[in-house]
Amino acid sequence: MIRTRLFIVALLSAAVVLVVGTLVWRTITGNATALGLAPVRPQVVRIQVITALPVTSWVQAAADEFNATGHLADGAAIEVELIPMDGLAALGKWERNDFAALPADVPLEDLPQEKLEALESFPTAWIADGRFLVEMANASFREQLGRDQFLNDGQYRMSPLANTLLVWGLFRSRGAPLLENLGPPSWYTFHKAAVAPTGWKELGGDPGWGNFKLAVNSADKSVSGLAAIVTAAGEYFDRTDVLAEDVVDPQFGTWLSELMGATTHLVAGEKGTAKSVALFGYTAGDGGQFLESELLRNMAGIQNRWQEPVLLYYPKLTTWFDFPFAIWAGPETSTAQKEAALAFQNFLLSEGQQRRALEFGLRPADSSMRVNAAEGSLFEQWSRLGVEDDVSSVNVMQPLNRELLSALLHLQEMYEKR
Amino acid sequence: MSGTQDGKEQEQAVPSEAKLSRFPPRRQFFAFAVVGCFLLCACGMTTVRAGAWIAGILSGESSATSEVKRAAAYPWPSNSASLTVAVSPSVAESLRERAGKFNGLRLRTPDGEMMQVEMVTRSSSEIVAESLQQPGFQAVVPDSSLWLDLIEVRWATLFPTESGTLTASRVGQTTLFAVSPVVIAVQLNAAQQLGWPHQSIGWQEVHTRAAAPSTNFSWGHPSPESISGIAATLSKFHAGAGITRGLTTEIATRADVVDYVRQAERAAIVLGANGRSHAEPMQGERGANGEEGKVKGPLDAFVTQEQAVIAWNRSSDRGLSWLSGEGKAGPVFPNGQLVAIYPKEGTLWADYPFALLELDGRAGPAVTRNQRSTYRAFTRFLLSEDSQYALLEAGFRPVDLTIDLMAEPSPFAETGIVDPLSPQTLLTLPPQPVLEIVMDAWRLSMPPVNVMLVVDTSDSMKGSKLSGAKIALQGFVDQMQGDGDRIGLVEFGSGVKQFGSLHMLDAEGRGHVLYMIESMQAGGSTRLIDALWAAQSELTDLVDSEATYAIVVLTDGRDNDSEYRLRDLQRAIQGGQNQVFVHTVAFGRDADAGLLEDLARIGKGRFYRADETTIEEIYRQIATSIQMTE
Repeated sequence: MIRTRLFIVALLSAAVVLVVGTLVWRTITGNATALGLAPVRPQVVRIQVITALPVTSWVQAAADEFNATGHLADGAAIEVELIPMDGLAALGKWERNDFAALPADVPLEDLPQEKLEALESFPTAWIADGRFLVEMANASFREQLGRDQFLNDGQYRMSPLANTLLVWGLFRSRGAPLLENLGPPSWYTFHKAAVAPTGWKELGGDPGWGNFKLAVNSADKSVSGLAAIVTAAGEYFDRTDVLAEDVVDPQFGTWLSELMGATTHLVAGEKGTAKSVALFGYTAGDGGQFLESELLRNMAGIQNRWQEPVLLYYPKLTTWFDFPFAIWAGPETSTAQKEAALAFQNFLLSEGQQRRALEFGLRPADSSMRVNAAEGSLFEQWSRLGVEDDVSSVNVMQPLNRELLSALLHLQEMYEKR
Repeated sequence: MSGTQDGKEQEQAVPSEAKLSRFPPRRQFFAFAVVGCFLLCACGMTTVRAGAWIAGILSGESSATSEVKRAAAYPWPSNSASLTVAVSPSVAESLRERAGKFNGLRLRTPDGEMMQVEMVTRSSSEIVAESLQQPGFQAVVPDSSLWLDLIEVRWATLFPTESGTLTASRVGQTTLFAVSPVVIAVQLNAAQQLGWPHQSIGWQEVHTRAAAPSTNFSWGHPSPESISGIAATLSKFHAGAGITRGLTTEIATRADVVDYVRQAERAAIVLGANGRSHAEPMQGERGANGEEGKVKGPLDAFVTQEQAVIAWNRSSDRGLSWLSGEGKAGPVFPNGQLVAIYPKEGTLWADYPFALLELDGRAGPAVTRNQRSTYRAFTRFLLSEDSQYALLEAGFRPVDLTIDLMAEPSPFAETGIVDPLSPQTLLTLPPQPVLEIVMDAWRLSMPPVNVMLVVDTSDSMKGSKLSGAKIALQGFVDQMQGDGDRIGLVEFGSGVKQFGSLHMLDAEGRGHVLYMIESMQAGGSTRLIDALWAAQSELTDLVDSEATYAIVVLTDGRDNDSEYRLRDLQRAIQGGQNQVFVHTVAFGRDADAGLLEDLARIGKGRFYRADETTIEEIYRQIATSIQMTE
């Protein structure tokens, strides 16, 4: 009897040791949560949003607030993560299918676990610089997958979040002699300045300023740089609908390469021209074409670093950017993620966030909201530098299409080779 | 419940055997059954989980297993949160200090991995070269965005796309955290002699003064492997052509411009991997392609970054490494104060872009999601107020534009030796093909090179060894681009199979040498010393006191049939009219490394070991080494 009991006790002890040992081992090796030893985290719906660079700081601030206030989708906490990316880079990724969207004939349930896990980092939404980029991506999807992936109607239709436009900017010290000698800012004015052989010496400025330097975003790296070339072409041909054959016109090519000979393109990556001017001053550009929002956002920095502001001038022709929030419609993202993206989109379009946009130099999507509607509006703060509330009189270029984009990229390649 | 209480009471009162016996048989059975069931279930679950776990290991499906497998196949695990950053020497110290602080925060990714940032120092050109392969790092900080452009251009060449389409980038998210303009750091008294602070001073004044024998003014700059070196070299082309922008290939290769640049290169002390000192001979070798120069000094002026001038003036014992950005130590300046001159023709900026590489996993490990998180976290850390002020303290201009450069405790506020409102104009960078010419300008001041390539094509070289050697030799010939360079070839086996005397490397001569390389065939024994004898005979009696003479010998075996002996060769090499450098390559494991080491020692050259994967790179290194030899 005693032997039996001892045997049972030994057996039970061995079982207890085995169970406890296994639990301890798995805890050490990191699978504690699955065994219930670590606190279970609340369920989270994580979404990644590719975000156009000019709105990144505003959207990031909104995302931080959104994440902190515990918004839910299907009962799970939403966590928004931004992937800042220029619209051209994003378009290239969609067109090359770098994000690995599924082919049209492959159902989700047939995917191996590894591929399903890879889809966890698939972007749920894209805030492009302009609707035309989304349309170009959709055209590519129609070719590859047979359908649009960013919708124009229905629950998940894309919605513009905010607006900005291309404007002229000139350091005050540089603007005075330039405007006096060459007239109001335009592409023609800057072309004359760009080709002046002795630079500022003959432009009426200090010879120590060197040649005239033009600040324009790089056309092969940013949407706004590309749009700047389109507006230059618009001014050259004196119309708002520039065609692919226009940009390959040899005379225009010569004129443009003379103009672009004055550009500096100092900064790689995410910083726009205005940030570049703030950091590098006159070496980045005595003046040039900027996104209004970027210029306003960097104005304090420009003044702080270089002891003078850049004055704003509104061009005869411009391009608007409306930053549509486009939710991916395909099966690569879950319904919960789509709902989470929709909730974030609605948050960005809320009155509070639209007012916040003014603090980042962005014009609200809601056209009835005045640019001085918020206390910290940069439009209000820098109104003395030439900021205009109403810019409805500025002519707007036709949106870029794929054919024109290809022609411009080809032109840029040719220019770089030269 | 009551039973338990009963039991406890009894436990204190009676021995355990009695305790058990006092349970009613049914309750005893029930208790055993409950405990037994619980333990059985627990054991069962554990066994099932353990079984699944083991089965997973065997089938390779579990996450733990895949990590193990990936760790074996890749340099970093798929959930790694460790970010390795290749950083330019000029900012390495500051970033290393910041990384230490960041790692001390012990931040974790959402899945619990510890974020770590590690810095490895590379010259900017090394960063470019390695980024195009499968580097051991995921992010880079070269000294200028220019290098990122170079990565993109070369990446696009490696993976071309149709014209007019959007190309994939090798360089991903990029952030600036600090900037600093390239300046000419000049000793205070030398600067005053140049007219500082009343007159604006340019590159032209420095070139002219350095070239004038009466002034005894000396200046130097890093090689064009750094942004400072590029600015200095570009200024020579501009000065030579009399322009301030618009440098084209036609202008850069014009005879008068090339002549001016050649003279200017010789009048300056150029430091770095592709530069050399004119004051003392080369010292040792650094890294894959680097040569280290040692300078007697002192110099009157050196091209560097504004930050280095501030750092120097704050702590003048830091040596040349701060100024050259290349990590070379040496007494370049006496311990006096330096002044930053912002050249009136314009200058360039060091902007230290912190870029994540888009390693997409096609040919090696991809950047992990956690590494991206670490990149973002470290970016935020670098942009934090604490980091921005730390960078300001180190002499950089922080990107936080709310920081007033002129307010205390900014080093810009302390003295008048740097000017935060300068530079006023820019040295315009030419397009990529022209820039390549500028970056190769150091070759213009190189003396002509006479090289005899001695190649073993004995029987053991058959197959991939010989084809690998041919590619390496062709690469060597391609690298020799000097106007006066000459190459000859001795192919040997049982005897000298082909003997090509030195040929000028014009189109015809280059074609002839390449043809000889292509027509080499394996067979026969190894008469190594005899072949070397033939090569040295070609070189020792040539008359050109400025030229460099070298033999590069490759063998995969042992000398087994030569008539000449090593001592004969030693006598000939050391007693000849010209100093002939002998570089030796042991190709594979069977090569006579001892003999080859002796030969390299006798010929004051270097001994290399190579296999079929490294032979091309070895020859590239040797070519660079010969070009650098004075």
